[in-house]
Amino acid sequence: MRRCLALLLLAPLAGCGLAADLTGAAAGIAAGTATGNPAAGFAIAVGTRAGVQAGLNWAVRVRARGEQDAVAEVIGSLAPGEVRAWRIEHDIPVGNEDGEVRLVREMVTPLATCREALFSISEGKWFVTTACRQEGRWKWAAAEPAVPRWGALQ
Amino acid sequence: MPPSSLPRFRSMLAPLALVGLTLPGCSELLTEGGAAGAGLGGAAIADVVGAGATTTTGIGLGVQAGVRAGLHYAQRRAHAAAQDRIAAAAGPLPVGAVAAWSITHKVPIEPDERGEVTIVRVIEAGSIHCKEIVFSVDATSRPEEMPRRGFYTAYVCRDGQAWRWASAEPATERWGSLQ
Repeated sequence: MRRCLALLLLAPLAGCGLAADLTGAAAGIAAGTATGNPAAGFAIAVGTRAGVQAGLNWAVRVRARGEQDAVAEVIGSLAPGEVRAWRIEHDIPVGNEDGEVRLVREMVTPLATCREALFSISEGKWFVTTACRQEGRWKWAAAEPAVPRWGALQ
Repeated sequence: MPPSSLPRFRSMLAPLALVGLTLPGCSELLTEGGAAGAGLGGAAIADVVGAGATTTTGIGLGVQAGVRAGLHYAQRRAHAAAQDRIAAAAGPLPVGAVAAWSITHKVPIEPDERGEVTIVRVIEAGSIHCKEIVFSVDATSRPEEMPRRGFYTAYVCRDGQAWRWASAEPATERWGSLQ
């Protein structure tokens, strides 16, 4: 019980990243206590953790994609020199963001038409990204970093 | 856990392995499922040989962590190979030219992919030669995973005779779910 309490206290400090570990640990402790079988407790803990982690990652990715689509759509609608606002309103109204988008340049290639743009998020931090037109709409196009630069990303 | 319940654990491992095999493109499920399965196996064996609760959990967690690290390593290697193929195709191209690229993995830990690549601009600074590229991913070995053509932008730089992927990681503020 005391261990559960300690885990709960840790939760707000750790943010979302530990949610799966904590859920798994809580489920495992409960199962281990109920059955008196450590292996069963462990099995339920890791099983729960794997499921919760995969579900959480999926949910966070859907939200990030929504944000990227919102920025990419504004990038596609920009005329040179124009400044436009972007905004994302998630179904769960947590982490809604808004800011500005400015077109830097257009890249017309034999493969696709892409644009480089500056975008800001509410606190006024600026980032550079790219979007390409595909199948009638604009999509975020910045590819993944080089594997040696992944470091702690995985 | 009595030895008689070991087969039950095996039967739990089988679906996990199956999920991992049918959806290897879903690398997250593979990693989580594979690591969890290995952890379960480790814990089950420790329990059968009579280890205590703490040792059982410790062995299970240790095996799980080891397998997860191993799978991440394999995924990074496979992904580096794909990046190398795109960079190698882009290396000799002039601005505006288009070349095809493809990757077939020996171990199906990541989907096989193919597409085209073109050069947007050349970035030269003294002895440093880099190129900004646009590449497409036209098809994968699992078409349900990416049913349409996607376009992406990246940078490649020359490293001796070879060309390597040179896009840096996103700003830490933009990591979000990446970690």
